[in-house]
Amino acid sequence: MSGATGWDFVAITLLVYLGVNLIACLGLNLQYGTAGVLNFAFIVFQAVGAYTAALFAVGPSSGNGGFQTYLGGWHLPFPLPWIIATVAGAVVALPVGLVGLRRLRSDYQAMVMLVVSLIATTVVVSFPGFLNGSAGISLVPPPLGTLLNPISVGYGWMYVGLTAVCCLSVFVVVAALARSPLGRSWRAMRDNEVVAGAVGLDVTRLRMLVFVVGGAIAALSGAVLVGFISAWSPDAWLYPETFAYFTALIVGGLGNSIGALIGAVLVPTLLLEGVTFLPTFANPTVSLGLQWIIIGIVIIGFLWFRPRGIAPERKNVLAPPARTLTLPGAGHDIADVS
Amino acid sequence: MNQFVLIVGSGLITAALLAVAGVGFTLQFSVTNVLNIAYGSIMSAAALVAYAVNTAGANLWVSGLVAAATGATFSLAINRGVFRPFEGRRAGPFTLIILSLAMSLILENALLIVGGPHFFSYGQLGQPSVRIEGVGFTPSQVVMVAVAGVLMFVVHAMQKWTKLGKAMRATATNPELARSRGVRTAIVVDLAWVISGALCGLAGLFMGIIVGAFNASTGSSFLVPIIAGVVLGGIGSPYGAMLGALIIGIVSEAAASIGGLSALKQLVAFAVLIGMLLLRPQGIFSSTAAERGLAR
Amino acid sequence: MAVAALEIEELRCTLGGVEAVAGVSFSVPEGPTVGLIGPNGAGKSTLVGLIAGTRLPDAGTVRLFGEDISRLPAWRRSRLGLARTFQLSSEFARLTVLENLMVACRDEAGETIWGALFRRRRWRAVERVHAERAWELLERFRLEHKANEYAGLLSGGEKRLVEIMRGLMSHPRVLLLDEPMAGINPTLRDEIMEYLWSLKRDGLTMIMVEHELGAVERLCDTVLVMANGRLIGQGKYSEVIEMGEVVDAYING
Repeated sequence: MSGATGWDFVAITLLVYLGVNLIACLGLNLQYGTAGVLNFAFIVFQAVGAYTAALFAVGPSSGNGGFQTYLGGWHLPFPLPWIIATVAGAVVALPVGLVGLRRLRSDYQAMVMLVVSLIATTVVVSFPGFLNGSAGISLVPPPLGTLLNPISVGYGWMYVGLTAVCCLSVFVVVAALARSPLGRSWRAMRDNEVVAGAVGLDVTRLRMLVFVVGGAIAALSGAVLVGFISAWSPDAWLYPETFAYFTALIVGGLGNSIGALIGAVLVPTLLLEGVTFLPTFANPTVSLGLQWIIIGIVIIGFLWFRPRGIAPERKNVLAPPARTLTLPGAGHDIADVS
Repeated sequence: MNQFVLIVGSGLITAALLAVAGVGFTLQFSVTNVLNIAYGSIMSAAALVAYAVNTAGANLWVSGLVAAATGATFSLAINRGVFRPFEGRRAGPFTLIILSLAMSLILENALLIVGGPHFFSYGQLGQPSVRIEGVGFTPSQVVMVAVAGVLMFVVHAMQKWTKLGKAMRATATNPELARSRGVRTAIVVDLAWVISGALCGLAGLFMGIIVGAFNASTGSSFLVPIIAGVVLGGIGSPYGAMLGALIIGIVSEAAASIGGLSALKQLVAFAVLIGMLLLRPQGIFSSTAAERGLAR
Repeated sequence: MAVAALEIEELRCTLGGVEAVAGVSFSVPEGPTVGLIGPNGAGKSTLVGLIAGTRLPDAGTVRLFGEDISRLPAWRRSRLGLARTFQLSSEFARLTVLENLMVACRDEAGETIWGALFRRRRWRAVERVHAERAWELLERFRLEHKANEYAGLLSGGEKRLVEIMRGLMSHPRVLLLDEPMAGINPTLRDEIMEYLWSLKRDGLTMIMVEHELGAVERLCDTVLVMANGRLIGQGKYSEVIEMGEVVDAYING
């Protein structure tokens, strides 16, 4: 019996992490793959979601012997903390976007966002009264923990289902946005920003929109994750985590959801999470360090050999109006465009 | 204790670090158009190697040379091994910065594996024997500021009066034109990375001396004030880097001293960065930033 | 008297210490095709940027059908009816030709988050209308067979045509053409000239910056000559080409 539960535990954990990473990848893909907006501070938005969900789910800081200090603690029932968390991601995206998304060259902008990510962890660690500093917030009540025993296997599979529902919702939203005129405007902005302005697109507004939507999606992924692991600390969202998601997209393929799925499976889930289940052959510092070194090598390799990733972006083929002859879509791949 | 002297003194010490680091960082950008995020990790590497050498018995001057050599080696290796091949393939600026971040992670985690996760510290480096108005500075701190000052002058002299400096400026402005005029741009670029790498390495040693304790990740955390100083002064301009470092150094120390919280240093540097981006993203000495199209 | 389609008054712009545009004034009524010629460095591209909105003037005004657009961003000017083409390839490379055309049409419902998600029927209907117009243009310019091709894979001439079509999608009131013949081989040039001539026949007000004097002679009712940031001549092609300054500017400048 315990053997079965052991494998259940592994499967549940991997599936929930896959779901969380998929949601995050879909959000980042919308920002970078579809709209060409760089967000090297992406992980901060996942953290915003996680902290918000935690603060709204947990009781006041004086509880449990008062060993933590943080704001809030309103002890709201599921799904309220998750909804508020998603909104929080959108709200925080506004000032960050207004400052960071000015018309800066792409790498300059990336560097600025990286600094934002660095300073965010510093602020949280240096002001412990805010979010309990480097210790982080723990003992977060699991969502629906009063209905099912949170330690049971049944609860675990329920959580997988919950995660799957969130994944599906995000997938549907992202797909709908990408296929709409808004999605087309984003892609035009990605391809050539100056010309996009010349054809009537308000590039600033488009950038803010995708930044806010992406921020909300990232926050949701954080809420789902914190509900599962019941704790959240600055260790979980250091600046390299954003890089892991970018690696996932570059490996999987930019600009399409299948690529996001492939990337989410291969990089954050298998590579980072999956290896923790293997017997550690050396001390934890070495295995953690090796993981990041492998990620670094993987991304350099992919950028050199296959920058478009595994699954390329699909062409949006439109049929001519009924009165004209049906013409075939030309058989070119987006990889053929330089 | 005269708080003004304390602020200016510690501000100058921090500025010494930020200036040496910033000039190196901005030099790499000016000559090769790359924002090298791995810079912080190279600083950490140099700091750790210098510490090892110092623990083995060498004095700080030798450690300084070792640090500079480490920085130069790693920087040259990164440029030759990664940036140049990708630039040959016409990689865009975003690809290059992702690559520099990849190398930063590889280097930093390699350092973690080799050196271990614990922190290193030089401890008390001598007595605070230099006393001004009741505030004590250790000899190593004073030497640091002096060395930084000398280096700034050397950089200025090199830029203005030597053939190499002129070649670097020509390559920075227009590589094709420089090449057609006979400048051996490949060698100029290599030398630029060696020099800036040496500055990076030396800054790593300074960092080890200034902070209470450091490890493989400390260099990257210093990217916040370094980048703030460079952006403030105008990226691509060595004089901008010096000015930016001075302002950030003094202002952040003032904030920490008045506010009583050491974390304010980073926060103030960040606030200055945000302010510059909102008001004047090209920085004070803006010519390089403007012509490279960094901010429109 | 009808309001001028485009009115420029004392426009000035300094670049890198030099006055690229040093007090230019002219007025274009509705209907004709106006050419803008001048040697390299005369300030023509800067002037185009000032009119289109990719650059802001230091002084002076730009008026579109009486409305002051001098300080409006490019996207606002486009929505007010000023379309422009670019000198260098400016297609959206990873969008299909059809998408390139349709992106130039505005769609209130489909371009907000709420509308994109919840008002699908509304924007699908608008899309159909835009797609019809796009197919019309594709047939007129004989590029239907490339409709679903990535714009980045087209030849230079085809890209230029896509650009012109894209400019026409939003029913512009003024079309600003920045060196439409640049980099196009001579056979295609005649074809493009035919298309521009048909647009002219339709009554579209066009302003054309061009080095290809043959095209200028054939298409333009009036020709403006620029040199050193100033307008040095204005009139019919035949008059302007005789002007001493023009001969000087082209042969000596």
